[in-house]
Amino acid sequence: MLPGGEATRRRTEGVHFTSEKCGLVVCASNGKNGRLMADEITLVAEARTDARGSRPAGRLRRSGRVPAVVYGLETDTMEVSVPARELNHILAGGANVLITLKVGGDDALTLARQVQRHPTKGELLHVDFIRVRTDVAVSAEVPLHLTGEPAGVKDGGVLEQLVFQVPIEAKPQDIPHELEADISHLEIGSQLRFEEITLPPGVEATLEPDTLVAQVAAPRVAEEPEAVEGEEGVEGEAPAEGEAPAAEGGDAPAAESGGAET
Amino acid sequence: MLMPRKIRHRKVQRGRRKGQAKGATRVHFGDFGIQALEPGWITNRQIEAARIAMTRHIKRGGKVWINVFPDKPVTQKPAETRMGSGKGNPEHWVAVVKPGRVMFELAGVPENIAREAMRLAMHKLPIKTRFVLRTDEA
Repeated sequence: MLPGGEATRRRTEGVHFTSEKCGLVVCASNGKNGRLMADEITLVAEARTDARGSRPAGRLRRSGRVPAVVYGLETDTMEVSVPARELNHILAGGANVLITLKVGGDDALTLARQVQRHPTKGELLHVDFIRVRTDVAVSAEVPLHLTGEPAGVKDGGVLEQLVFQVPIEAKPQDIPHELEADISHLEIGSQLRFEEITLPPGVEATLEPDTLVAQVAAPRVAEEPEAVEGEEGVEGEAPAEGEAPAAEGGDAPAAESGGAET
Repeated sequence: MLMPRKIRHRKVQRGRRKGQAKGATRVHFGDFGIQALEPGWITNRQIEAARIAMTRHIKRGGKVWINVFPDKPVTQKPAETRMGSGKGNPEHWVAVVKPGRVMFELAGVPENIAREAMRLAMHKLPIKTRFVLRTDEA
């Protein structure tokens, strides 16, 4: 598997690479306005004929494949499996990649959705492929990256980003890999609203225009000991009173005061 | 320290900690996180110690999120007490953590400072953890 950085580099430089062994063909290309648009990728899938359930799925995963499902466009749902290694390559650059799934003799243009991964190992567990048409807009979530160092941060402010994924609607081939917003002009106390972000042509956002995307907050002036005291006071005085005797092994437990309130 | 304001039951059973975390397995609010790799009970004192270690290292600026809450009371019998006579007294509060859970998040600081702050915080926790970054995957 390519490391994430290498995959991104290849993608940004428009590198074409082919893996004959697994039938994966990747043609990365730069899109309009210098933004990275959806690539054309072919992935060979196999229809699942084995039994259903967690144990057959586990066997499938151990053999290097990922159970997946293909649905959408009012066609029958199809259970398939795809090579995990190749799918990881594809998803390393973002989830909004157009994938042509070859199942049997049929081709289906799809987008990967609901990518399930193992919480600690990061291995792919299951993927939904949603069938799409190039002339019909679909909804997607695109990562939002902020560029530039805000003037307020240079003065000691703290940048807070509140929106990381932007829900959009666009034709599959127009879905950008990421959106960028320049925040170098933000001073301490100033905010970036979603309406200030320019979207690529053919892309419509479903986010409210006045949604707060990022802001530069004033630095915290409270030093550490004050912060600790403040939080203890806020967290609930009643349990704190009850805790002291409990900690000393007394009969009045920490929870007792809280329980009496209920 | 973190603890519930009011509770339904003073004493609860220990429960089981099998399986993986169902949610909060990725960095959602900040840019960096501490992810649990083992199941465990994290006490409110440990959470507070980790938070203090982080905030002291980053000095000013930055923002810390705590994604676990110690809502489970743990009882203990007094020392040198014979068995029996019912369950012990509630002594402290714990958060039940399963592998994969992102317990703390941090934003607004450079990565090298975040790594060091979180390394210090990890030493306050009773389980194996690791430093994780935000990913773009939706």
